[in-house]
Amino acid sequence: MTTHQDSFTDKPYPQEEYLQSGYLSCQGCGGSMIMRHALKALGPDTVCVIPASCWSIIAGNWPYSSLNIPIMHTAFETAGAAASGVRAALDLKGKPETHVLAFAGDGGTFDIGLQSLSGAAERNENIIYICYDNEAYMNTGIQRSSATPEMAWTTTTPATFPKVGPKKNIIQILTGHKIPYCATANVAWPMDLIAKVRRAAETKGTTFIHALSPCPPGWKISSEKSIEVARLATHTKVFPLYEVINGESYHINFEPKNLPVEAYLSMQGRFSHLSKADIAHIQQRVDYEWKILLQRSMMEPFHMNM
Amino acid sequence: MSDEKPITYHNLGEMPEYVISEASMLWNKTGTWRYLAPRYLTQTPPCNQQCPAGNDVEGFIRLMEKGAIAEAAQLIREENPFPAVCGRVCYHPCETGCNRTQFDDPVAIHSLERVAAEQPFPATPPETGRPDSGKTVAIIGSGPSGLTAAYHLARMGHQPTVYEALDEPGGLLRYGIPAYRLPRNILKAEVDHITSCGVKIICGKRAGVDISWSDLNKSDAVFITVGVHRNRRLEIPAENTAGILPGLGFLESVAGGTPPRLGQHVIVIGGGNTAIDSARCALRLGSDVSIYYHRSRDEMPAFEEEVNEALKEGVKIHFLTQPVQFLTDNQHLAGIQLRETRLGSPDESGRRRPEPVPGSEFDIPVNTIITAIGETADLDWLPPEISHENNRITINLFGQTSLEKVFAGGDAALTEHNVTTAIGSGKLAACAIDAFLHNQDFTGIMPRITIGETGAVSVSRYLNHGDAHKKQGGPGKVVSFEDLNLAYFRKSARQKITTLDFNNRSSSFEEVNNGLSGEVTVIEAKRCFHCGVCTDCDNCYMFCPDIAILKKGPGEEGYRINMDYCKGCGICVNECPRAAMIMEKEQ
Repeated sequence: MTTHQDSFTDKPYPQEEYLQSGYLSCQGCGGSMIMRHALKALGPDTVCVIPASCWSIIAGNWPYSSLNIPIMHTAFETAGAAASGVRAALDLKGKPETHVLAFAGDGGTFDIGLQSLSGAAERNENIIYICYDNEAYMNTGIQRSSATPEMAWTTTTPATFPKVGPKKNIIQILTGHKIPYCATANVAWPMDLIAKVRRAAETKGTTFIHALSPCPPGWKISSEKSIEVARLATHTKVFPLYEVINGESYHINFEPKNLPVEAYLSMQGRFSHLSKADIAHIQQRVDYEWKILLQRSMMEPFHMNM
Repeated sequence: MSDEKPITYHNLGEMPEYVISEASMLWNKTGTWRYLAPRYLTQTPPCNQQCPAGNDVEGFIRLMEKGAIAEAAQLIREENPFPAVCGRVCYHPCETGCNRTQFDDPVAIHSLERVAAEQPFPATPPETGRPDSGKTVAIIGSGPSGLTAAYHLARMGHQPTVYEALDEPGGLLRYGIPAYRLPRNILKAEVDHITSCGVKIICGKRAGVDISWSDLNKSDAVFITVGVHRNRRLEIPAENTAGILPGLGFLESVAGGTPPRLGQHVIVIGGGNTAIDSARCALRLGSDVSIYYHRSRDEMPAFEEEVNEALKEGVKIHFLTQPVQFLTDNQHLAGIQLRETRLGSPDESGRRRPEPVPGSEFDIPVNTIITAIGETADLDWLPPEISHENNRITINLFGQTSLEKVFAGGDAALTEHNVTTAIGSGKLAACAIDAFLHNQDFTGIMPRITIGETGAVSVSRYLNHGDAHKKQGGPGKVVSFEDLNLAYFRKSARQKITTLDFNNRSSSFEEVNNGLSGEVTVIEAKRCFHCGVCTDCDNCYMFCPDIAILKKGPGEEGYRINMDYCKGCGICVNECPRAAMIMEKEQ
């Protein structure tokens, strides 16, 4: 019997493992779950490119690796370029079927690696790019990134001066490149995540998956709440689950329970300094973004303001 | 890449020419990071604890969900030989306890039990692996308690003989509960099955009259379940007039096929199940029926469902009125004088005491009155060594009377009078008698076989036969609604049963409630949360960030935790939908 929460794929969870225990993720790490699910979706014929990120550490120090597939560790800003190179080499060697997976954090995607990602996407390189987004530079000590949500605490945006400005909308940047497939995913819906990685693998060209990755130390949550918090992110519409085909066609995959954002924020220490007015502001932003998403998915009409 | 030892290079020559990994991280036992450990623990579902008959409710629903209806019926019969009876007449406290009640609606457990009972009877009762003991047990009374005890004692290898005073076995099931609630063929089939399991039933033998106590006492043990058959009297003037019928006597004559002649209008005095049953029987015999009860609806001891059905069928219920005296005309019943009451302070039963309203008396002309204000046991025949108090046989926690080899149960020994509680007391007595016959101390056994914190006992746990851990939950606590992770459950409507058309009720004793049909049964069974019992849903396995939860081999259910790598994050426990895992300090 399965009781996977409302996932829209009913395939059983694949049992082959391409990751071996002993790796160095923290307790309750969302990023290690995303890697596990993604590799199950892609299978053994995959080459992984990992720029500087938590995963540079998690995989293990030389001469060890906890992944059962080849991985290449690269410099922070180079995931898109390095993956393009690996792709070209594999194509030259007559292995166009081998998947190339760039697996980068939000720092390596939203900030430092944005240029090389943009280049690869513009050339529509045949790669899969997964950004596991824990919303700050967690590995180096929880410094803010451009993926950090508005008003969140980090070590560089203390509670007295919390982060200014909204989280960068990376999907909008990528859809601006008109790549064939973009999607958001969440560790709380593993079967959905697997289905999206499979779809990305089946699609020729650059595909991009933005996966929310709860980080117990960085978000100041207890490790067992990791999945619960991630689930609330989607149910409060803070992190909706959707796909964008060819940069144009939006599909919302999951109807949120429409809970108030407070349910999501109040569970996390990084938001504990928020006032009622701050929460109301965030709620307003979330509702607005959701409305825009509904309009983009043509589920709600929009009016020209002329 | 599966070397579990770290690599040590002693010189440059041993190192690879370029930076390439040569081993996995398996040498790094991340289990050392852990300060709390997860553990699989089967906990007690509230339905199992609530069942006075000690049924493995969650267990049989789990089987029905997979379509294994015959196995489900057999699982019930490990605890209770009366699934068809209980599926119809039990007041299902299991459904009251069901955690689903706080989510949408409770699982229709009694309907599922009834469907399971529709399976053909198995050739033999569930296996116990016990050889014949050669010990005899005399059981006085063939009601649900006596027959349940006989059934289990026979399974345990003893020779029980049941003595019944009336012509047919079944006790209150046959002579108290009307056929529209429990069809006679259904009861007969289950009683016959019990007989086929090695139980001898001798009817027409009243203890103390047709068979003496000294004869009964020759058995190795005795179990007294004589029930309550003596109608409580109102103690008001003219109570012996013809036309005033005792409730249970009336039901007995209806059940025996010789109903008395009733007047066009019948008044029933009382608010318990006997009163409601009498009213609904009188209605089916063609009379208009009014019930007069001296308290309000909230204090009525009758089952709510039965009261509702009676009201729908056209029985009128007048609350807060009590009889003053019966009115006679030439030795014949002419009517009844009643008066209004109001509720005062609570009495010893916790219900508010009715107090008469002075000057509110009124008369109603009527030819037939049924009094059903309660019944007491007839214990005059008992030897003086067996003590009783307030017309109840005195028993200890596990049913033993003041005589070591004599046990008692059912309505004659309990304060709570219903079929399921009686079945539970029969089971308890069977276990206690078995322990007595084997010279074992039952005080130590009882806590081990009690379901949950206050529940009935489990025979399958007593026999410790088969996978006793999977049966009847574990020794863990009872799972509450707050323990569940509701993110994994969807709302779904409780399947409705159909009932007999009202036009057919006033003239026939045909069964009122119908059962669930085939495909609906599985839908209903699937609504079960399986509180505290693992269903292999894969959540723990999927969400483990450290791949420390592994599926057991093919053909085996469940998971195991690789403690070498479990970092103790607790996600598996938090995401378990049904509280079948716990976090704890390691020993």
